[in-house]
Amino acid sequence: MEVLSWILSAILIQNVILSRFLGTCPFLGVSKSKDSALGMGLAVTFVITISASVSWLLYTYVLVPFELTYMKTIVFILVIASLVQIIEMFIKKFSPSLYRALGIYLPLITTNCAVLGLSSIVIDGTYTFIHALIYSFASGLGFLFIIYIFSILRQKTEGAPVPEGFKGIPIALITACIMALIIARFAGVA
Amino acid sequence: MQFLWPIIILAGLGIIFGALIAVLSKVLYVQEDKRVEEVEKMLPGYNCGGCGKSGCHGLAIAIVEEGASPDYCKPIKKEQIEVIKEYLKKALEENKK
Repeated sequence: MEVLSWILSAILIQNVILSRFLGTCPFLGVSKSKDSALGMGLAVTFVITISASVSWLLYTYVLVPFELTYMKTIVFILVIASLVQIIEMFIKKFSPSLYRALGIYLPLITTNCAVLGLSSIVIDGTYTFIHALIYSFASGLGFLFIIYIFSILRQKTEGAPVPEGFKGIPIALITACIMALIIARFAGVA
Repeated sequence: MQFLWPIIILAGLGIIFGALIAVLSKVLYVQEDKRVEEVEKMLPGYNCGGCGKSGCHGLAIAIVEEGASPDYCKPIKKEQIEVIKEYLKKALEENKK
């Protein structure tokens, strides 16, 4: 039961994009087509899960015993940058078409604040390792969920009779705003 | 000695991750078109993004595979553009043989 509430709260109530407002750059940048949104979501989910778990382990077993907690940001960035490099090589090897579709946004996962944000959230002392692992994975799924829905909505609005001045990014921002309002309604559930 | 720990830990982590990436880059090496590599060497290598691609590697792919002109590159020298065009012609002729 507890695990279910962790997962639901990470996906809906404290959604990374629409509730914490982290990682909005790929949210707007890679949501033009369903396939690249799905690929980006999966890549971010993978990076968030592993980087948050590795960050938790390093923070708890290396930085805290040595009283070096002030170095957490630089250590997390080291972990994230290495992981993104590795996942980039994996995608290049196993899915060249996805590699091309993601383009410059793939190395930019390094600077995706959702990844560093999750690493910083799970080390605040209230999370056990399993909790941190599940929470970060579910947050990644929340990212995937929202960016996928958003890409479908964007494809729909492309064919819709939108006023000339609102075409493209403006209507996308309004769509995102309405989605954020819906997610905000979940705030009282927890 | 207290001040040495941050240095040791950060250097240690750097070495571990660096070694991991070095090993994986060998394991996951992707054989690319040789011309892309050669053209990339002939470009200035600033990765300025002035051409609209993600970097010099991106432009090299566009030149070789999509036939884009090397003068998309802003900082390149005029002579070098000719060198790249010559090289691509040569590579094409060798392919025909």
